[in-house]
Order: sequence, then structure tokens, then C-alpha cells
Amino acid sequence: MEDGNVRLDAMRILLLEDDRETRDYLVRGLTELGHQVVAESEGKAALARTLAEAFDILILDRMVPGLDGLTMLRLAREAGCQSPAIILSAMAGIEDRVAGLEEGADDYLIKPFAFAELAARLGALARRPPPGERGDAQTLLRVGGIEMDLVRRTVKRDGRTVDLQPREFSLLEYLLRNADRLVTRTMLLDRVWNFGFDPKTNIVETHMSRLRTKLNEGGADNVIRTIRGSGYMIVSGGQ
Amino acid sequence: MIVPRTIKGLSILTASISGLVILALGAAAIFISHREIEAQIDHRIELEMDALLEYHASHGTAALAQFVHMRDGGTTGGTGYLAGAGGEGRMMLYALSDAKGNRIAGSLIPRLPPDGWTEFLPIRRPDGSTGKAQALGRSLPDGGQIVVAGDRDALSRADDRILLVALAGLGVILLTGTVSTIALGRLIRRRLVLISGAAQGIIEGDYTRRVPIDGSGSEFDRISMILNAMLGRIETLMLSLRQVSSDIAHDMRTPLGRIRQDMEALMRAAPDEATADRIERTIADMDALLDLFAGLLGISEVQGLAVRKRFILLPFAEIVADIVEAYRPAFDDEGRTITAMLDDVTIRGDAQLLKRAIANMLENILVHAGDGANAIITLAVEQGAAVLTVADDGPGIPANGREKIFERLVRLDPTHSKPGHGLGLSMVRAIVHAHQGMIKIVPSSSGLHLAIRLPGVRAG
Repeated sequence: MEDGNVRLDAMRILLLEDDRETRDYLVRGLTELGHQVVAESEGKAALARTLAEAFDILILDRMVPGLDGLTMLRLAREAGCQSPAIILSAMAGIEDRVAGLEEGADDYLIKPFAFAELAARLGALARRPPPGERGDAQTLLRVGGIEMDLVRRTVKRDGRTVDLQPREFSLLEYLLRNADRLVTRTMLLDRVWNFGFDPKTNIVETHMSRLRTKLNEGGADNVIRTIRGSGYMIVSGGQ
Repeated sequence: MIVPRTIKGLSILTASISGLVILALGAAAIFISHREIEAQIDHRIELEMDALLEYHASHGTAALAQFVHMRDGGTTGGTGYLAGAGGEGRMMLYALSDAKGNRIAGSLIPRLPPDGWTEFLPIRRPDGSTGKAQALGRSLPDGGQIVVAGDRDALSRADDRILLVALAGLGVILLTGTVSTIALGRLIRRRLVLISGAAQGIIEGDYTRRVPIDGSGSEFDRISMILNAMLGRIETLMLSLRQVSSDIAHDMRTPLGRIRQDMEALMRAAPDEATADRIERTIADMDALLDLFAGLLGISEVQGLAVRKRFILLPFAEIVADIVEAYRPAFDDEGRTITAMLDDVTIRGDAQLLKRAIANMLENILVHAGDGANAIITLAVEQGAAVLTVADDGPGIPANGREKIFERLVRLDPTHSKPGHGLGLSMVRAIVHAHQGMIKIVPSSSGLHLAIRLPGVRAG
């Protein structure tokens, strides 16, 4: 497993989860990744915590005693809390997901989930500027030998212009913005293709192989690494 | 007997029956009064005849002639029903002739009738008009003839009056019938529109809709209250069903989540690659089961139509093009082509659901249409509707599979060797129905040819 290669800056995380086993599992896993986790099992206590302390990210279960996770999030948002929030719920319906996002959640992950998926989504939500990036207004993404001009919509690999289809461009842009972080297949489906569902065909893989072929033309190294069973990552440093 | 099934029919029937009753009553009244008046006229004629014969016997022909001359055309001094009720139309007429048939007195009866009763005898009135009369002729002992007649004008006048009253009644009945039919129809239609509006809301997935009640306590209010009680019950049941399925989801997914966590931990601690692979396969199997479960629940959710609440105007061609482009490399990789000819059309719907429907159909072609089968997608506007066709040029499906392909868990591949749960096209159909559309299989010489018709939205 290459999960250890997933680089995440240490974050202060509030976890609201009433199932003790899941809670312990998450606390253990997230702590191993270097995060500081405050775990609550009850909605009202979690709300009080959220309003009293600063968190980089909130992980909320929906069906918990006291206040349910969604109401808790809505109240926290109304009170001015802007921390990114990810709902982690067994409520898997189409409407459940929509309701979650409408109440102010930034992401919605359905239980059971792969821990790598959660870790990857937390990384993307942290809104940490990737290496070489200075603020949101930048127009140039430069990772490794890849240079992307967001205004002219051009891409260069080691100085050579690479011609990309619009969707390939978006795919590469997302990977570059999340350089050094694991990006999963479902995240790409969600963010690049805006698929709120999981197709059975390897949409991501087929596009990814085209993108790779174009980037690697002329014998350049493969910059997009496949993390087996998890997803993809562009690494900024040397190979 | 035709039993009317509409308010209009019932009102017309009621008004017709009332009208007929009025007419029958009028006819009966005319018949009875006619007979009665006729009898009175006849009775008077008989009485007068007896008196005149007696007078002739005691005073002779000349005196009778004078009497006749005096009384002929008089309108007073009747007897019985007509006594004291003289006046227009109550005229009595007399005529006297000698043995040779020469007229001695009386001028208003132009032609003398034979002896005995004569009806409808033509007469003249003093004012010059003509009419008909009841007449009784009798021979006198000297061979002459005396005729006493009563004008029938009173009779026809009475008949006319009763007929007028009956016709007026009929008119009133028909008028009130028509007005009340229109008013009742309008009232009923207004309330039915409210009831069907609420029902339509429920059909479209808004279970909070209720029939308005105006507090009049009318039959409609009562039926509306009963309907609302029923709708409340449906809403409660839907909510509890939803609660139950989310409870099941929770109670199933939470332990499955723990199992998955343990598996992941086990996989990290696996002593060798083979064990790790086995654990990974187990996790994949579990995920496939969850996927099946989510697929079934998803179809039910779309069929519940609550998704309609979120419908917005969408550029359908862009959505189709997006999905086609997403799948193009997958077709290319297998040496297959995907062709799209899309006309712009705006529809009302949910973009995620529509994307899912199109993706499901394309995946259906990729997996089931056969090696090398190509996809042809067209979007056209026909009579204001958006018609999307998704066709392939593979071998197609057996005829007996046509009715089944939209059913849940149906897989025409007999060995079930191909991936999938047989939910893809069921979901497509549920999504199309949620969008008030229709899906059908178009007969074609090759491949499966699906046509989806969705209501279009006119520009502007």
C-alpha cells in the first residue's frame, strides 16, 4: 500500500460520530495521518465545540443523538462557522445527498466508505494551496515539468506544448491543484465530470490514459501516478 | 333506460320529467274543466229547451217567436254553472222555424241543425264574428223546430288559459333547470378542480398537498375533509416508509461499515499478497452488494417522484453531449464508434438524473450490445417534445426480451456472466417517467433502438 505517500498537512478536525467503533477507527486513522481529532458523539456538544473552537474541517455523521448532523451544521453555518464540512452518513438516497449539500456541507460520503477515500476528500477540502501556488487568483499552475496557463488554456510539458481536449484540461487542472495529494476516481467523477453517481464504466481511466499519453509524448516520465485501488496523484518533487 | 352519468345529463333528465309532469297536469286540467264546462252548457241548453217547449205549449208560436227574438244572442241569465256568470263567451242562441222550415225567429244560427244534439254548429255573433256552438234541436207539436245553442267560446277560452298556465310553468321549469344546471356544473367543476389539483400535486410527489375547504359544510367540504384525512394518512405512510428505509440503511450500513473497517485493517496487516488479494476481493463483493441495494433504493426513490421538486430548466443537448464525450474514449478503446446528432432543446428536469439515464444506456451498449457494436445518439424536437434516441448496431435483443428489459433485476444474458445487476434500464425508465416522459423500443433491423420522449419547453 502506498497510502503512506499521501501527504497531508496536519489539520484540526472535529468528528461527530455516535458509533463507537467507527469513531475509534476514524480517530486512529486520522491521528496516524498526523491530524489532531476532537471526537464528539452527540450533536449539541459538537455544536458547542464548533462554535467555541476553531477547526480546519468538520466530519459529521447525520443520525446522531441530540442534534442530527445536518441541523448541527446549519446552526453552525448560521452562527458564522465557515470550516469546510464533510457529511459521513449511512443515508444514501439521492435526496439525502442533495439535502446534505444544501444544508452547507462541502462533500457527502456514504457509509461504508474506504478510509483512503475519506482521507483524500479531506485533503481536497482543506483548501491548502498546493506547492508553488500563491492564492486563488493565480493564472499559472506549475507542478514538476508541467505548466498550465489557466487564461490561455494552454499546457506545456518540459517546454513542449501539449494539446488537450477540454475535459482532459479540467482533469489535469484538478490533479495539478491537488498535487502531492491522492485524488480518487469518485472525486474526479464528482469534480471534473460532475457525475453525482458512480458509473460502471472506467470513465476516469480511459480519459486518464489519453492524458498520460499526451503528457508523456517524446519519452517523458509518467507524472501521473496510479495509487493502486485508490486513485491518482501528481507528485511535485523528483520521482 | 339511459341512466345519466353527468351532472348535465341528470339536470336535463330532471327538467324533462318536471316539464312532462307540468304538461300532463295541464292536459288533465284542460280535459276535466273542458268536460265540466261542456256539461254545464249542455245542462243549461236542456233546461232552457224544457222551459221554451213549456212556454210554446202554453203561449203559442207567436209568443215563442218574440221570446226567441228577445233572447237570441243574450249573454246573461244563464242557469247552473253559468248562472249569473254571463259575459263574453257565455252567449246563448235561439232559432225558431215553422213546419215548412221557414225561419220565424233567431238570426245568429245560419243553418238549422237536425233534431237532437249537434256539436260544433257554426254560428254568428252579434259583433259579426263567427264561432261554434253546442246545439239542441227539437220539433214542435205544430211541425216547426226550436233550436237552443250555447257558444263554445267559454270552453276554448278556459282551455287556452289552462294551456297558457301550463306552458308558462313549463317555461319556468326549463329556465330554472338550465340556470341551475349551469350553476351546479360550475360549482361542482370549481370544487373538482381544487380536488384534482391536490391529487395532481400528490402524483407529482408533493405529499403535503391538501384539498382546500371553504367552511361551508357542504357535501364537497365533507368529501374534501375525508380526502384530506386520506392524504394525511398517505403522507404519514410515505414518511414512515422513508423512515423505515433510512433506518434499514442506517442499521445495515453501520455494521457493514465496521466490517469494512476491520477488512481494511486486516488487509494492511495481511501476511502475504495472496491474503491481501482475497481480502480486497471480499471488500469488492461487499461494495457490489451495497451497490445493488443502493440501486434498488434509488429506483424506488425516483419512482416516488419527490425528485420533481428540484426540476429546473436545462439545456438537454449540452447534457447529452457531455455524457457522450465522457464515454467516447471507452468506445474508442474497443474500436467502436459513438456518434451524436443533437438539436438544441430545453426541458425541465434534474441534470444528475438525466446524466445517469444517458450513462446507463451507453453502458448498456458497451456491456451488452456485443463486440464492435457502435452507438448512434440523436436528439430532435418533434411536436414540441424532445426525442432522444439511443441505438446500437449490434445483434439486438431477442423478441421475448423486449417487454422485460425495463424490469428490475432482469438480465437477458442467460449466464449472467456480464457485469451489472439488471437495474440500468429500470433506472432509465424510472427517470424518464419522473420527467413525465415515455420510453419505448423502436423496432429496427439491427441492434437495440431506444426512444425517449420528454416534454419540451418552448423558448421564451
